[in-house]
Amino acid sequence: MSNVVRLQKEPFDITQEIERLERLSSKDGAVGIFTGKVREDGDIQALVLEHYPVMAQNVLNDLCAKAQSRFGLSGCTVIHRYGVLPVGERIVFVGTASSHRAQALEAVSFLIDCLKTSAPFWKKIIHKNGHQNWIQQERGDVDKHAYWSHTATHKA
Amino acid sequence: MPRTDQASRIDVMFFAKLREKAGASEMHFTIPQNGILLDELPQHLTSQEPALKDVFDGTDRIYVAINHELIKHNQRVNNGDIVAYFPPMTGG
Repeated sequence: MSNVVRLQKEPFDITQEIERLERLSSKDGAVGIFTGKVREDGDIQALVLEHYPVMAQNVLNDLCAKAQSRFGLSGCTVIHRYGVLPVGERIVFVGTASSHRAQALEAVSFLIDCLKTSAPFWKKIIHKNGHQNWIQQERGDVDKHAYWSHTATHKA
Repeated sequence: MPRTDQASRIDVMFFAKLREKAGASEMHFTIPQNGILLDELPQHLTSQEPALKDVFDGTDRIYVAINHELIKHNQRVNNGDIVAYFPPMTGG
């Protein structure tokens, strides 16, 4: 199983995930990763991540398959957490394995840019004073996703 | 012969801000026997559940999925379908 998609409440172990990708193929020379975490920003106490489980799993499976074929990856991993995540907690892991670094790193950007606006997750901020508000989708994130729809790729 | 007096039923799911406005994450509705167009569904749902007016009256963009797939064009909703409404996604 070269691609792994997991939606989970629990934290993930980055070392374990990198090692899985490193073991995929002896012909690979590169593993690329991205992790996203809840950042300190004003009076944020935590984020609440809500998701649509079946659709999120399907969308992320499809994205991984697209990344694998488009960038010639040996495989990739996307782990997305849900539930209440306090400041400092990891939210998402994206990892890719490829023969060369250009494809591995480009595929990481592709996966995170595309999942932000196409995987059904929603973030709500819990402020220290108890107030809560939903985060709005950002125009910049939509543009980054659109960029991959009309950009050629340095396929291996 | 299929029964003609049997109403069709669908499940409707709401997520995030729309779930809060709807006051529920999932509801069950009856639709006409021969289905209903997606564009006509909000009005149909609101006629059965007036509290949903707030969900569909907002100016924010609403996404819709049928049977867990994002739908971009008008199409028919049929008996047994699962329809989901949700705001623009903010994952990652």
